[in-house]
Order: sequence, then C-alpha cells, then structure tokens
Amino acid sequence: MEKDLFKILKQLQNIQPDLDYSNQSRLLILLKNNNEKHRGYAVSDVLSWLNLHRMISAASLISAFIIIVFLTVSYLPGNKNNLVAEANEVNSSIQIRLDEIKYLLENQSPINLDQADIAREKLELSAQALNEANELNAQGVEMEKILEKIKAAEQALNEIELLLSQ
Amino acid sequence: MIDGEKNIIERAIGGEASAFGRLYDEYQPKIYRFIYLKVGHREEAEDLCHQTFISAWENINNYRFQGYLFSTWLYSIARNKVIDYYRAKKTTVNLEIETIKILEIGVSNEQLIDTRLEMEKAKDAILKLNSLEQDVIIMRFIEDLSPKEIAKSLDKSEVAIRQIQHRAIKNLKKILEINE
Repeated sequence: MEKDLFKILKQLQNIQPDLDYSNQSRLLILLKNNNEKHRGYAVSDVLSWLNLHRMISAASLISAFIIIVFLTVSYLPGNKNNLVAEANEVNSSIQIRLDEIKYLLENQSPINLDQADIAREKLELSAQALNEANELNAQGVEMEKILEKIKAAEQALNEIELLLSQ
Repeated sequence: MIDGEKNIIERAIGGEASAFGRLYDEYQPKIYRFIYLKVGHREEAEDLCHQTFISAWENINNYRFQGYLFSTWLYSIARNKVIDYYRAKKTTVNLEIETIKILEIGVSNEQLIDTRLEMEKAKDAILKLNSLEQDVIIMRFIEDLSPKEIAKSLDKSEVAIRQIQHRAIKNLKKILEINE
C-alpha cells in the first residue's frame, strides 16, 4: 500500500500548467520590470532636455512627464487575456517611443519654440490618456476602454517622435 | 537546480529580466503544481502562481543565496499566497474535480483511465490534509525535496518535518482507504 501510495504521488508530477498561460504570465511578469526601470529615468530625460533647449516652461513639461504612468495591466484569468496581452504590448511600444524620443532630444540640434509647444501639448495628451487608463485599470473597468486610452497615449508619442525627427 | 544557478540569481537580482526568465522556466511548473494541489482549481492556481512570480521578481533583492535551492524561497512565497487566498475567500473551497492532463504517449486507454483515476483520488485526498501536511507531502514525495530543504522553506526543524511527514502519510492512507 505504502509503495503504491508513493507511486501514485509521483504520478502527480505529470500535472503541468497550460503552455499558453505560462508564456503569457512570463511575458507579463518580465514586462512589469521593464516598466519600472523606465519610470526611473523619465524625469531625468526631461531635465536633460531642458538643460539643452531652455525654451519652454520647465514647470509644465516636468509635470506632464511626472504624471505619465507606466501601466502594468494585471493578468486576468478568463477570456480577456488577449486584450491584456495587447495592452501590455502597446505599453511596451510606448516605452520604445520614449527611448526614441529621449535619443532624439539628446542627439538633435535644438528645436524651435513652435515645435516645443506642439511637443509639450502632445506630451500632456499622452500623460492624460495614460493617467486615465491607470484609473480605469484600478477601477476594474473593461479592458477595451483601457486599451483605447493606452493606444491614444501611444499615438501622441508617435506624433512627438515624428515631429522631433523632422 | 539549474547549472550555474547562483550566477543566474545574481544576474536576476541585478535586474536582468532574461535571468529571471530562466528561473521562471525552471521553477514555474513546480510552483504551479504545488499551488494547484493546494487549491484544487486550475484557474485559481494560475492566478496565484502568477502572483507568486510577480512577488518573487519584485522582491528578488531580498533573496539571499544560502546554498539552498531557489525553489525553497519560491515555495514559501507560494505558500503565503495560498494562505492569503483562503483567508480572503472564507467560503467553502471549490473541490470540483477537473480532469488532470497527463502525458499520453505510449499508454493504452485503459491504463490512462486507471492512472487518471488514481491521480484524481490522490489529488482529492491531498486537499483533505491540513495545510502543513499538504506542503510536506507535495514537496517531499512529488517534488523530491530533501527534509532539509523543506525545513528551510517552511521555517521548521528537520525533526519537525519528519514528524509531519509521518503523520501526513498516515492521514493520507486513511483518507484513501475511506474513499476506496
């Protein structure tokens, strides 16, 4: 009996997590860390930009960057997983955009006042959208609405990148 | 244990996501199994397992390599997640039987059904043990951890672990006999 018992217990090693779930969970966990790393240098990026250009209001730009919230949408069991993955994918894309913007700000010649105003406006739009997405996420609002906000933020950052690379 | 585990852990502590990814690949199936056998429900186990690895990643700076498997640390996080889960739930545990997925290569249908039934019985019997007995049975006889490693993970002495193990086997046999 005891021998059989140990044999049966050993068979329970065959219990395995679902592969799709495992891959998705892994991706979300590792993305979470990237988000936090990026949060650390967003403000210093702006400060270095201000040191370089000194042409727009420091206060408004800093506040815009500070309220940019890097989301990590939580893993939700059930059928919303694709949307969660998509939201995190867009979120990663936002980080790439910010990397690119940072690079452009550090390596381009100073931009003019009009461009700086437009950039600031779009930055504020992006920050606002991410902030709203963060609030919706905290309230547990359906993922489609959160995704919409994150995409709006990504779009605004795309436009800044385009502006700076002209 | 992964080859060069200490080095991988150090890289993960330094923030290298791919290093943590390797630890995840190695230990996630074990931690999932541990949680699944304690909650008896796939989706809940998936959620708790995900939370366990998030906590591990967020707190990896607190991990100190002391010659034990990294999994002993993960088991203690998972154990706390399960305790929190039952505390928050405060309702009857869902003991619904789910079909356990097993490897089906080279096994006849008859054998497969027998194996599955045995596994279901064992799974349900484990769920009826107390939490500490569950931990010891899973870690010792399913995951092959040594009493020393279990003692480390559960913050108990090796002697205490052997006593719990003895009691757990006795209780498990009794539950299985009743269910025969």
